[in-house]
Amino acid sequence: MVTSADIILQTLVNGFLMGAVYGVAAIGLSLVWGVLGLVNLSHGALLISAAYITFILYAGLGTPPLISAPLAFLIGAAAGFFFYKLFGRRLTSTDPSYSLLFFFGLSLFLTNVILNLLGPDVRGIPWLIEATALGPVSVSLSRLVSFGLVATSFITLYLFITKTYHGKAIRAVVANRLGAVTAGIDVQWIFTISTSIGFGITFFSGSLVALVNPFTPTSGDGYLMYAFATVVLGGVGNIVGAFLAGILLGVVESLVGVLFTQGVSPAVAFITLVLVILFRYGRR
Amino acid sequence: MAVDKGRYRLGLYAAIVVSAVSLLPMFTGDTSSMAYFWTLLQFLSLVLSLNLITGFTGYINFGHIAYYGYGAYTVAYLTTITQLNPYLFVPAAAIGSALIALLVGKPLLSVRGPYFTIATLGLGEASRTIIVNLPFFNYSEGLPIAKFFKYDAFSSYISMWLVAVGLFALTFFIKRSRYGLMLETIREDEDLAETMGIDTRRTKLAVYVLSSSTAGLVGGLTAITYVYAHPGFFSISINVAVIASLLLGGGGTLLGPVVGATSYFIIADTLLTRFPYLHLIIFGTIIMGISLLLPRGLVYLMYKTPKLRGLFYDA
Repeated sequence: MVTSADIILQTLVNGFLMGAVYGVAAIGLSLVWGVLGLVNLSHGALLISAAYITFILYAGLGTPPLISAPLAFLIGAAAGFFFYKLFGRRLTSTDPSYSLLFFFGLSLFLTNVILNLLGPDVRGIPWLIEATALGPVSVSLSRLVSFGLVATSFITLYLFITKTYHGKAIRAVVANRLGAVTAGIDVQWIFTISTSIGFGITFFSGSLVALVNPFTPTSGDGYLMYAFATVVLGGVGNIVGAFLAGILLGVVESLVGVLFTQGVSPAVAFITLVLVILFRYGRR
Repeated sequence: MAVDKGRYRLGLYAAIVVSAVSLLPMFTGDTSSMAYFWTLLQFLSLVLSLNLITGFTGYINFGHIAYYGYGAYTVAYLTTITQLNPYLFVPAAAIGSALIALLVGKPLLSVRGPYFTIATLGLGEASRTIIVNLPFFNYSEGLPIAKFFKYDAFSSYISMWLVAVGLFALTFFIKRSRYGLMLETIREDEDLAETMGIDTRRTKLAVYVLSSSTAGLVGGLTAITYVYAHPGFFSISINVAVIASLLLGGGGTLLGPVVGATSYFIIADTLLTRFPYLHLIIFGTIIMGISLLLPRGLVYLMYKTPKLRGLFYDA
């Protein structure tokens, strides 16, 4: 006999595990937005590209996601590096609305390349999907593994941001770009590595998303929305905030899904987003 | 001022000729070309209504499509319960959207820049999710209204044409008015505008309500032409297409929305028919190219040739 307390506990655990993935997925968006001031509308498409890379590696070569996730980070980091070298200066110097348009074009491009190459079918990675009992709750192994990866990557990133010179420089640029230049920080270089790390962590989380959820070429839009909500909730450019906000959002979403219906849980995320924006950034 | 008047007259003639030509498809009696130009006019009207807020004040509005959806649902719902001719409820669509905009706009416009953009994005998506879950809006199936009136392609074409021409005239008058200058000051520097004594809050709210209510008007007419209101009206991709074509043409101008909407529509349609599978890939590439190479829109090309610019009054 399953008591309702058990269901709530199960929901909380599921929400926590999903939320941790949302949190890491939002860090890439947060970093690029905070440092470069660019709102990356193609974040969801990048995430899904990485999910497909992981899927191809798994289906074609049998590579376990445990290996392809770090690989995805490297691919993403390289992509980010070249992206900044090619378009970065141009995008940071034009009007924000045109950089939004650019990222929209990029997202359209990526989504449809995937759609044409691999078709619109729902894909998933059936790796370690058997459930394990942890006391009163049962969790699939793949979610636990993905949580382990999330935790490791978050701690690594946190140490990088707080302890190393480059990490501190990134935070300085987020806080005050002009001040950072005055203090002798090479802002162009910080922009480059931030884009690189941002894209890398987005790809990394994309392969985790592939591990825990089924996906289609267009499911990036949903993740983009969640990432927006997470970034705004946690504070732009704030990595710890994004992670915690992701967990909060995941828990709220799964609680709403259980207590009401699954259909309204996206609406809850959006309403949270709107309310948070209004209370945090509104001027009275 | 004589020169000014001459430029003004030339622009007026051009506008009259273009709007008269856009009426022509109605008399050909060819329903397929009428449908094509109706869609173009509808798209143009949406771009013109978005131009009021996004073009003039620089607030990028991803929730514009929500008001289009509200308008569609207002007309369809009122038609369903009263079983009268849906054209009677088109004003109600505009008023309904305006009321919602008045309520939502007040808190929404207190945030700026990307925060406004993302809040409006949330608004649009939340509206769709809520509508899909409401029983009296028939969940995700929407409200078909075909059985309550006799659909007539002419009246649907004429009404959309009137809205497009009306919005063009409205944009013209706003651009020339003191109010338009206030909006443009907000776009260039909102703090400065406040310092100069502009009540930015009221100015922005007024233009937001105006822009949203015209979007509701377009939505209501679209629901009549489609004889159906469904959650697809809240599709974010329409909103993005509208923003993209506004930026393509050049925001805050009179010719920008017309040039942008027309070229976007023709490019998108040609690509769709020529490359049914690859069109969005090509389209994405074109959009990226435009945003990098033409960062002020097509209309600003005109400013590089002063002779051409001199012909028209204040594009």
